[in-house]
Amino acid sequence: MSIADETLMAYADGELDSSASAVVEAAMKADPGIARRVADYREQRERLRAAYEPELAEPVPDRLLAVLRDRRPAGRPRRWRYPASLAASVVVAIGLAVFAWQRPALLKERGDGALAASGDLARSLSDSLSGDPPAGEVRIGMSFLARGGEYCRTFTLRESAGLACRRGDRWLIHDFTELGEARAPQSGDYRTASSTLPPAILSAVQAQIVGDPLDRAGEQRARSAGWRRR
Amino acid sequence: MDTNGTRENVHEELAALLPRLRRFARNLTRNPHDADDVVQIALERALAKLDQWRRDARLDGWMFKIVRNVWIDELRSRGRQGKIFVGPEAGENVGDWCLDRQTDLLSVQSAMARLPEEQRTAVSLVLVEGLPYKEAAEVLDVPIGTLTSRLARGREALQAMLAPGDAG
Repeated sequence: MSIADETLMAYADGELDSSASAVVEAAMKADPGIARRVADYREQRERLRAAYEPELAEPVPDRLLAVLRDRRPAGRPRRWRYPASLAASVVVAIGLAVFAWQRPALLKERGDGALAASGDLARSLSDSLSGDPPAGEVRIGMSFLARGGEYCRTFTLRESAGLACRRGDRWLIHDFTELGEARAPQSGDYRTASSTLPPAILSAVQAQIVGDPLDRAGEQRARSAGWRRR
Repeated sequence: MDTNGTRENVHEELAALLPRLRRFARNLTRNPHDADDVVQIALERALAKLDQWRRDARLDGWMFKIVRNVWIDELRSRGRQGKIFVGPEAGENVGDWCLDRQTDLLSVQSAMARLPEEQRTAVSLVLVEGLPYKEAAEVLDVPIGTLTSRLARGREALQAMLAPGDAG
């Protein structure tokens, strides 16, 4: 009787169903050579298992545990700590101060010093999809899932651009800058809005984004979930 | 919320999986530093898409798959994929040279390191990590028959490299 090596191997690994196992067992009884091959597979399995067993006892580096503890990589700068990231960036702080002074209806300062979107800005962030025509002065660029597990969206407002992330039921402003050389996209160009974002906002996006930006269906799902993860 | 409770449990399960994830990543990358980097990125990715993990799926298999995908991405970005990964055709023969060196007595680890990537990951998932064939095939995104033949070839090459009865 001849049985393929792969079948004997699968038998030794416990992968065969009972009828196939019965055939192999009958062959093993009839042919010591087959029994020997099965024993070799089992021995090899045990040898591999035993050889790698000690690695499980090694201490796990703290930087890996830190990812689970903090949900942030330990070895990288924490650019996005709430609300310290705002204080850390003078440019952002000044830009926001000027902006808040110019357009008090669009931003609301919270007790902890962070700025939350309000008015048209908050409405656009919550309601508009990236392909939509601008609502008032606000145009949504792109949406993505950030490393911290929250949704973030870029936006432009006349000569300024920013990044807002969902925190609870608010949109907190995380980066904000003048458009400068990067002009606001022309109408009909909404889809490529992200490519016209200023470098400061783009690099903030790149530092935070997980995977790809949301497509339209992804945005619709996120919107109907209130921009919360579940 | 139930969601939060579930999520905390998953964090604990992930923490418990870390030694195995590191071990698998080492077998995958053959470099302990790369391995820990890959595990770190894989954890970040997993946390970001935890809602894509089906509760009825094994967490270890899901994580092994993410670890492997991170490593593939890393190799692509290093632009040296061709040097490390062997194509399916080349993979058929790479293990054969080992058969000519039956006199070499190698440790299990160094014998494993000489296997081509696709055989090494198959052996690692099934024999080291103890995954059933079906789960291992899912991690590698291949049909179960492909997994079985890679495993068989990998085991044959290992057997040729390792002296019988050597404590390894």
